[in-house]
Amino acid sequence: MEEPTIKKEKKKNVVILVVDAFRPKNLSLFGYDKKTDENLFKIANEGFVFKDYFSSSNSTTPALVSIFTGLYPKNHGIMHQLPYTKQEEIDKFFQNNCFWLPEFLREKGYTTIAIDWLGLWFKKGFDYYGDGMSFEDVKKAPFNSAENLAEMAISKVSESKNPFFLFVHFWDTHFPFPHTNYEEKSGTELAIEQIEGENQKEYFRKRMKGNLSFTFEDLVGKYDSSIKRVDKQIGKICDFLKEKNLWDDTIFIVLGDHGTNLTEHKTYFSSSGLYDNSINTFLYMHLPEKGTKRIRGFVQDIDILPTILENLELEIPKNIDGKTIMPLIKKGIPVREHIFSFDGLCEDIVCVRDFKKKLIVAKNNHCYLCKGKHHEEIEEYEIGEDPGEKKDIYSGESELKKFLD
Amino acid sequence: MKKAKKSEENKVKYGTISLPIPLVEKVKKRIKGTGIPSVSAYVAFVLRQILSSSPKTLMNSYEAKEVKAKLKSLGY
Repeated sequence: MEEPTIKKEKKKNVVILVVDAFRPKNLSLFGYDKKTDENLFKIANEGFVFKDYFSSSNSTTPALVSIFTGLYPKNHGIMHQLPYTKQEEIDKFFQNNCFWLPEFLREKGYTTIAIDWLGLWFKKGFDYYGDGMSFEDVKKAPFNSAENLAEMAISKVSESKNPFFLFVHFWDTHFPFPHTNYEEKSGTELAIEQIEGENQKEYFRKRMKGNLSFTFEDLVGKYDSSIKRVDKQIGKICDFLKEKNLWDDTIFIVLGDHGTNLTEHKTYFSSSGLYDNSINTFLYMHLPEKGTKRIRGFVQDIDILPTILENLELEIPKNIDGKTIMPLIKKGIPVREHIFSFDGLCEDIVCVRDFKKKLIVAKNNHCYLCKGKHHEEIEEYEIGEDPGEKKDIYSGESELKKFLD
Repeated sequence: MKKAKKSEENKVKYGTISLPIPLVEKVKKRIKGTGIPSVSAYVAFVLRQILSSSPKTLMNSYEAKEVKAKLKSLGY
């Protein structure tokens, strides 16, 4: 008699590609009139695209920590963007000793690879962490191009043993867009002349490093061109996984760490403030669960971790804020009624939002980035009817206020 | 004579710490075949690792300075 064989389940690989300051409004998948997202458009037919995805912070540092811990910034500790992160926040984060996805996957036998330059505590749990740029290279460009990052990612995965966890952070879409193909048009009106307010002019001058020969139209063109370049590299990574027959065995996620304003709300090429442009961002998931859907229903970055763990058939930690979104994907059951977000660029601003209304409370609205302010003390919007958040309806009372107490 | 005095000055001085015997046994087991010469060397290595990754040291490190410089070049 033949001995029964134990079927060894193959572990799924995990890929998370983060696109910095990623704005769904500038994707044809979300109705944009320019085709900036050819490859995302293609893979949208092999997975799930989320229409109501919100980051728990408008800035990279807290948002990435939320992705890896499944916790809101107030619970993991890192409230503000580097270099504005306070020592007490870092102390709290280390004292909390939170669940950390890369470390957990490494313990489960994964090769863990990060292609990014933030380093510091983000390196925890990664077998490899880097973006291939030396400090000297920074004088030429503040970060490495999407092309080089994708090449590194493919090379590191090729060298690694399965299963692997790959995390890549594409920065091209971050101001000042140093790697675009876009050629500036000879505009007659300079961007600086279009800016209202002295604070904003000064901030913009500093950020542009005195190079003010662009019009806003040019800058939007550069942003779109950057998306296109990143999209191409996302396509390259997908093609590689498919060629190596890894695609079906890989949980493949593309997401923005946060959104960005272009010129809306007098906020120039920045994610400061908590208007939807700053916190609504892109999420795509290719999962073992087959299907193609454009999904409505709130999802936050804190939900990524439990959703990955459920798909890997691993236990979800109990003390996290995130929830698996599989009920939403499989049956359309909403997993959360409200989303919360925290301003990582300003001192103390929080918001809560449902599908009808949004409340923004600014206890201290000083912006570390532009030294201006982006909100009144309290603002409320009929977000369902006023998606541009133009008419503040706050009258002294709000049914959403209790969620922020 | 001068040289001998200098090398005496550079010599690392050691202190004594106490560890529970079962822990010492565990460490002995752990370092077997690793090339780490002694339990003391292992404990010193682990402590250095922990101290270098403490939040305060981390934010004063060369790496943190590099990160801050990069952020500055991004307008932060």
